[in-house]
This record gives sequence, C-alpha cells and structure tokens, in this order.
Amino acid sequence: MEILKELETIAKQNVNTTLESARSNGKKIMGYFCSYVPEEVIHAAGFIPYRMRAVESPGTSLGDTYFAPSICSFVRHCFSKALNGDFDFLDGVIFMNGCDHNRRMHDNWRYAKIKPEFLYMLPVPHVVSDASTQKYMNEIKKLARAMETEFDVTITARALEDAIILYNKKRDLLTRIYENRKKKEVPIKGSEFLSIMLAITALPIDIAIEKLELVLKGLEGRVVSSDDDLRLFMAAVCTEEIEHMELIENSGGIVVADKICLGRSHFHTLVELKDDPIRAIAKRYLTHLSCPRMMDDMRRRMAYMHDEIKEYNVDAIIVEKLEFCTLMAGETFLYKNEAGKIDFPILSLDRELFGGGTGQIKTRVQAFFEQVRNIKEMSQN
Amino acid sequence: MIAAGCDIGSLTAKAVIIRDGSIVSKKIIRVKETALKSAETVMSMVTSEAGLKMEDIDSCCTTGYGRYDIPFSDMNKSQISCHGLGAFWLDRSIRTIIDIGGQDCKAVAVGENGMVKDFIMNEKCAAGTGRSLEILAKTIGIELEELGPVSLKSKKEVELANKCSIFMELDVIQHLYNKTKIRDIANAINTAVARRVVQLSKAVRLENDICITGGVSKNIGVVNKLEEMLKIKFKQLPEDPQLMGAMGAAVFAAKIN
Amino acid sequence: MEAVSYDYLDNVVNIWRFGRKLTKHPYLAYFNIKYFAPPMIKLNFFNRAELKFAFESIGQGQLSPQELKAMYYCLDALVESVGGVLAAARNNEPVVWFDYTVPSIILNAFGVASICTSMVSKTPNYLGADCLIEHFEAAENAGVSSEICSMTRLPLGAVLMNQMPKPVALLTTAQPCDSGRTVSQMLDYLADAPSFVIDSIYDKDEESIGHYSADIMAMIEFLEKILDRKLDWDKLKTHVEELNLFNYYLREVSQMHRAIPSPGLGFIFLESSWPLRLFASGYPSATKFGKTIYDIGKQRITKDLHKRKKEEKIRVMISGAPMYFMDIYLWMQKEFHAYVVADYLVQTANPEIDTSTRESMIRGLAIDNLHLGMLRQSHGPVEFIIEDIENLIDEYSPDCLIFCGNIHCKHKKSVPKIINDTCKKTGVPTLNMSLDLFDPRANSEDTIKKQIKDFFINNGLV
Repeated sequence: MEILKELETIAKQNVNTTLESARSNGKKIMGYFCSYVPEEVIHAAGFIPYRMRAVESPGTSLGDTYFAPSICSFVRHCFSKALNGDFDFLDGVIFMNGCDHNRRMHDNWRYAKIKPEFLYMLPVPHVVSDASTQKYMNEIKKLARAMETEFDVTITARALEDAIILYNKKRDLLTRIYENRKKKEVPIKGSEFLSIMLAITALPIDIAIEKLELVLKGLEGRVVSSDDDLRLFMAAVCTEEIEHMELIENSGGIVVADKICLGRSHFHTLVELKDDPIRAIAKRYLTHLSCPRMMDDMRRRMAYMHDEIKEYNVDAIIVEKLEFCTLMAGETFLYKNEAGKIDFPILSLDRELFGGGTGQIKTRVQAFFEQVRNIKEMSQN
Repeated sequence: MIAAGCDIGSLTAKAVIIRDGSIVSKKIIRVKETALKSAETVMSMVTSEAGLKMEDIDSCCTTGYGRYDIPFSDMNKSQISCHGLGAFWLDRSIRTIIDIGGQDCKAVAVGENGMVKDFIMNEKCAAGTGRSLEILAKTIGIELEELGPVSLKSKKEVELANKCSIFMELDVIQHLYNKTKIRDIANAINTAVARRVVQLSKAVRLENDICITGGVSKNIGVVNKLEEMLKIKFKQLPEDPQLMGAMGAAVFAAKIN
Repeated sequence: MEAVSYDYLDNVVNIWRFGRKLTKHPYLAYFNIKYFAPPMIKLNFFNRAELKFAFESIGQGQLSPQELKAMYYCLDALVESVGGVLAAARNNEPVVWFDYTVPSIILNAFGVASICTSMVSKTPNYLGADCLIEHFEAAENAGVSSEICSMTRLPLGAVLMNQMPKPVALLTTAQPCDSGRTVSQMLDYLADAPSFVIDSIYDKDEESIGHYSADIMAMIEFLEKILDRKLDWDKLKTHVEELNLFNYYLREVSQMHRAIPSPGLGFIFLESSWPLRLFASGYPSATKFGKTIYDIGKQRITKDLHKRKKEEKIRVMISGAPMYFMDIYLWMQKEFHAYVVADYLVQTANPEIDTSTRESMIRGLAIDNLHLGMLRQSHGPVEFIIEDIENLIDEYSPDCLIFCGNIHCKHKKSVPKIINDTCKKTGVPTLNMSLDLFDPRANSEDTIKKQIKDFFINNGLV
C-alpha cells in the first residue's frame, strides 16, 4: 500500500518535508515528550505538536557526560540529538515527569543551554482523583499562560474546542485502524502500525487525518498475516524501531494488539467535550490507558491486557522494556504474574533502543515461538 | 536418511551427522572469521570423517548465532530448542537442561516430546557465561581449561562480586593485589559464575532429571559448584555435552524426535 | 499462599532487645564492650554474621557511655515499634504497611500497628550480609528486575519470603523516584489490599503544598474508612508535639556539627535518627534519644573542645553509606581521624510544626515530610539537589565530599555532570563512588575502604 510506504519514510525521519515546508511558511513547531502532554493545548496555541523521538540519532556519545550509562537509551539518544542540533527546528519543548530519566532531561537541557529557548516542565499527577484532576487543570493553565506570554498568542476556548474535535477525530480513525487487527486475516502488521504512529505524531493534524483516512480505506480486503502466524500482544514503552518490530514479526508472529506509548496508549479514550475544555482535556489525559507511572491504575492496566487477549484472539504476549527503565521493570513483573495466573505464554525482552543485540533477541523470540507452538500442539493432541 | 545438525556459536562451531537414527560423526572447531566459513569448515570435516559428501546430506538444520543464511541449511532452529532436544534424544528422562555457552546461559525445560516447555536466558550481561570465565582466567594468568582443575585445589573461600563481570574483574584484580592464592581466586570465579547461573535457572522450575550442556560444562569447578548449590546431581550424557546444540539440530533435521 | 512467619523480624527485634538490655546500664555496657571487643574481632565473632553486625550497630566499642545511653533509647523505640507490629499480627489485629515517605505519625495517632515497608531495607542487615542476599535472591527468583533500586527491592524479597504481616491497607506516595513508584504498585499487587497514594508535587509553592496537604487529609479519610474508627486528633497533636521536640534536638545537633571541631556524633546521630524517624515518629523514646545526644553534643563543643580538636583532623560530608558496611563512619574515625559532619541524605532541618489547628498540623506534616532525605532533593528540578549540596558545603565546611552512590539512583545518574560541576566549583575534593548501597554482592568492604584511603592520600588529607 503506497500510503504505508509514504508513512514509513516519514517515520524513519527526524524532520519530514511537510514539517519543513510548514515551518518555512511561518508555522511554529512545539516538541513534547510522552502521552500526558495535551496536544490540543499546543495546537490551540497555534503550534504543530511534534512528538520527540530518537530516530536518526547520531548515537548517545554526545550526551554521555550528562547522563550515566545506566540511564534509558531513549533519553540519551534524544539528548544527544539535541546537542547535535537535530531539534533546532523546534520553537519549544514541553517536558513532563513521565519518568525520572525523562524529567531530568529538562534539567540537563537547560544546563547545557541547548536550543530552543522555550523549555517547559509540565508536572502531571501520578494518581487519578478529583484533587489531582484539579491540580492537572491548573498545570495545563500554567502551560497555556507560559506559551501565551512567550509567543504572544492567545489560546481561546473556541480554539481548544476545535482542537478537541480534530484530535478526537484522529483518535477515532486510529481506533478503527487498530480494531481491524481483530480479524482472523490481519490487514496490517504491527511494524506498519508503528510507522503510522511515528509519522502522524510528526505531521500537522489535518494532514495526519487525511493520511489516516487513506490507510483505513486501504485496509479493505488487505491481508498480511498467514495462518501459521502467532497472534501477539505487545507491551512496551518507547518503542520506535520499525526494524525491531519486523524482526519479531518475521520470526513467525504478528502483533495484533498492544500497550505501547506509540500505540494504543496514544489514542485510547476520547476527550468528552461536555464542560470546560480544560477540564475535559485534563480528565481524558489522566484517565486514558495509563502508563506504569500512574500509581493507582495498575489493576485497570492488567484488566486491559486480559481483555485484549480475548478480543484479539492473542496467542502470546511479548513484554519489553528498555534497559534501566524502572517503571517497565515493575510492570513486567506484574504482566508475568498476571499471565502466569492463566498459564498464558509470555516473553520478556530487555534491550537498548537502537542498541543492536539482534542475535540474542532473534534467538529468544524464535525459541519463544517454538515453545508456544509446542504447547499449542501438545494441548491439541 | 542422513541428517546433519550444525551449531555455529560465538566461540566454537559444532556439527553432527545422524544416519538412520545413529550418530556417525561429530566435530567441534574454533569459529572462523564468518559464520558461513565456520559452517562450511565444520561441515566439510564432519562429512569427510563420515566418508560422505555434502550432497549426501538429505536434510540439514542450523542453530547457534550463525544459523541464518547458510546456503546448505534446510531449516534453522533456536539453540534453546536444539540443546533441549539434543539432550533429550540421548536420554529420554531429561527434563531440564542448563546450557552455558560462550555468550549466553540458559535453562531449558522440555516436555515429554523433548520440545521446549519453558526457558530462561541471560540478558546482555556476560556474567555467568563462558566469555566471562575466559576473561577472568586471563586476568589471573591461567588458561581457560585450567580454571576448573586449579580451583579444585582451593583451600580457602574468598568473596567475589557476582553482579556483573566488570565488578567481578575489579574484585579479581583486588585479590591479585592482596596476593590471594590463584587457586582460591579460581575457585571464587567458578563460584561466582555458578551463583549467577543458579539465580537464572531458578526462574525455570527445575526437575530432578537435569543435565548440563555447552562449553562451560567442561569446567569441573563450575559443575561441582552448581551441583552443590542446586542440591542436584547432573545426569551424564553419553556424548560430549558441548555437542548438544548440533545434536538437537540433527534430530530436528531427521525429524526423528 | 504459604504461611507467614516472622523469623527475620523476630530475630531483629530480639537483637534489638538484647542491645537494649545491654545498654540499659551504659557504663557497665561500655566496659563490657571495650573488654570483649578485641577478642571478638580476633575470633571473627565465631563466624556469626549477626553478632558482627549487632556489634557494629552498637559502635564496636567506640561509643562513649553517654552515646550508649542514647542508643538504649533508640533501641527501645525500635523494639516498641516493630515488636508492637509483630504482636498485633499474632493477635490478628490490623496492620498497615506504609512507605517511608508517608507521614507515619498519623498511623501512630490512629493507634494501629503499622510497619514501614522500606524498613526492610535496613533490618535484614542486623542479621548479616547473607540475610540481605537472601532477600535479594528471593526477589530475583520471583522475576524482580535487579535494575530496580536495591533499597526498594528488599521489601519485595521480604514479602515474597512471607516474612511480612498481612496488611489491611497500604499507604504510599508518588515520591521520590520511579523505583518507589513501581515497587509500591508491586507491593500493592502482592498484598492485594486497599491502598492509598499521596500524589507527588514538583514545586515548593503554596499551591503544591496545599495539594500535598489535601492528599494527606484524604489519606486520613481513607484510613478512617478502612479501620472503621475516627482519627484521635488530640492524640495526633500530642505525637506531633513530641515530634517537634525530637526535630528540635536533631536540628540543634545537626547545627552543632557546623562547629570546628564538631561534636563528632556522626555515627550515632545520622545512623540512628533515620530509622527513628521512619519507625518511631512521635515516640517519647525517640525524643529521649534526641535529648541525650543533644546533651552530649553540647558538652563536647563546650567543655571537651580541646580533646575534640585533637581528634578531628578531617571533616567529611557524605552522601549515603553502604548498608552492609555500617561502621564506615567509625572506621574513618579510627583510621584517619575523619569525622562525618553532614550527610546529604539524612541531614535534619525539619521545621517546627504548627499544632494550633488541624489544618496547620497537616500542612506542617506535609512540609516536614518534604524535608525527608531523597524527597527533599528529588521531587523537583535539579536546583533542589544543587542548593542542598551548596548549602551543606557552605554551612558545614567539609574538607571533602564522599558520594557513595547509589548505583540505582536514577536521579543522580541523570545529572552527574551538573553535580560534578557544582562540586568542582566549590573546590572541595570529591570522591564519587558508584556503589550499590544495599547489595553486598556488588562491592566488597575492602574495595570501598581502599577507594576512601586512596582518596584521602591523593588529596593530601592524611
């Protein structure tokens, strides 16, 4: 499918031509980290939200004095890119306290005096409650004020409402594409879905919607799975390497459901525009399919895994963490225990982002698939 | 039927030929500069030993890190499945296999058909692998092969960090400064590596019928320590335990499991 | 689930009880320890790790009778706290688990037995290094990643070994780090009991303190529901007044260490005040401990000044100490006349809590809580870390800084350049070690000693 090829090209680039031309036409671009920074607010302030990424990283060596090697490779790649000037095209970057590694990037970025000048830390609550929603609303308002002051713009309620409609449309389209994977004959691979996610988070929203509509149309009648493929549920955080996903799928599986930052987590739950737009946004971002950083939502995340296994007819789970990601280390323990309760096959992978080691990964994945097939055969016999 | 199994590992390449269910030849060599060259060399040696030509092989299965893109291979299987099946084929009572190779260490549980039921493999860290033993042996100035026998002469327990091979090396150097006897350091190295393997293998439910495969199975020091720590006795395999990957691959190729 | 036993906690409490008995008559204890120290060291404590560690925890014969008296109060508070939990568990009374970041004084005011899960990062140590390893291995065997901070992994080990009384509720906060956040969820999962999380805050402004206080209030409501009883606010007030006194003495002792020479109470003050704060917040014995060391400190910087001048040659500011090498302070004192005058993690600067109203008390507890080591420096931007280091250097005039680690602390590992540059700017020689502060498998005592010795020699301090 042409559109998927086009999106894959964009996914593998740090800056794409659409962004470049928007920029040359005077449009401003705002980088942001993590799924808890509201894109609607950035859009309403007149920026193109750009999800920060490690793709096309020059390696981590530039930032090695700022971060010890025991820090997550996603963060070290992004920071090295910043030192390398790869993010100079941005007008600002919004950080959030997603994890300790990411949060400290804000400190190092300021200390190293790297471009751009507008660097903002958005502290997001770690629990879901009325009080935390109120706190988060206050933080969103502070962010909005900071952008208004720095860039001399006004964020109106109308602009926020329009943004909510647009971003909900994006979420809806992504959900429809995602749900296509329920089919016995799967029309889209996990690696392709990851490409889509990387691409649309680096494009203006109207163009992203156009592309998603094309993808959805193109899926009609398309089949990319074979009968032998194992249907996989994949849980991970900052997965960006399309090749890595391909490696897994080329070993005899197909990812049909996920719990990945650049996957279901990004578009799960719509913003319910019933009351004040800021309150609606705060509610959605705090209650969407949560990251392990959220401390009182663990049981819902586990229930989500069980539901996806059933709905998407999953054969096996792959849960992967980037080395030194503490949050995902805990989450892996929970996944393994939950899978154990129903005797469900699960493989955990621990690796560096763009870190090689494919030999070992291939062996693990292949052995795991051999194990799953063996168990299946034995139970059938 | 003539079936071949070829295991191209990180330090050695191994090959086994099975004819009508019996082993006719086997070989272990140090790896060459490329996986293909290693595979070709070991296969040419093993076929000539059996008085065969490559064309005589009906089916060939490759395994190990170099298992891909070998032109004469008909299939490839993970070394985890191969080690499991190889050991099981030689002794049908085997249910758990601890394999310590050059760059990885794994514990494999197999079912009644010899196929993988569960497994655990070390992460990237080299602690608890043949590679770390090689480095540490070099640090104390003895050959890898001597590490086991030398350690048996130890009379004093000395402590060694076992969390990571770099920490281990630092501690070994510290012991050298302190003039700790080589035999005692050798013993501490084997103990530390065994402890890592024990930690790893506990993730798989160990059953009584257990054997050890891979290059490190030849280090009597590590083997003794493992038996002591796991409170088990390894079953002796009728063939060289380093050959189990190739053996399992040959069984896969012959489809006689 | 296997039957719960409390072998380890029982043994630890028994060791504390023995220590309390021993130190009840401090002069007698002083001569006994002095007399038995050399042969015990020579015989390597009959190869009994618990004897070695117990001996180290009462100062290896280097503490004065007055300090042993303080130790008596400390042990008394610990026995009361943890012994009380075990008794409650055995009588099927409710037990609440709380993380060290939770203001536990509230639980004491509720009159419910409560155990600090983070305490288990300290207690196995009283039984020797092997016990620590056993805890780690229990966690690792159950699939807990060793990338999670070792301090927080120890309680998981205890729970997985069925060594913790089953809780009716769990309390935690979203601070100070990812390890704490993730382990709290794992404990919650394993215990499968109702839990409450106090949210984290990033700033120190009024709005943030207000949010934090509101969450503490919500936690009280949660507890009232779970325990089916109302909080006794008068009792809380009494406890907080006790805590105010404890904080006062500790603040004073802390400030006495600014003097040159310092009163040299680093070991007992810094090592003991931390567990007291965690397990016995608001206990009268804890206050008596504070008062005793306050009196010793006062005496030393006035009457014993001449003696102290001879003793203190090097002033050390430390950040954390390896748990399995408890006598690091005493070893430095004995070998190099090096005295720890400030600890980046344990330093006490907790302000007085206003007990006039319920709201002021809760607000005060929130602020007190945010002064805890690790929380104080880590909940916000890097400036909190830098200010803390700069202030401590400025106020305590150390001759050197020793940063022990911890290898798993993502906060420090995320800003090594900023910390190094700050230390360089101050011109104070700095030793940066990358230790695992809790896991004895990672570093040996000898390696640590060698690094410190080399550092002192290379910087001309000895």
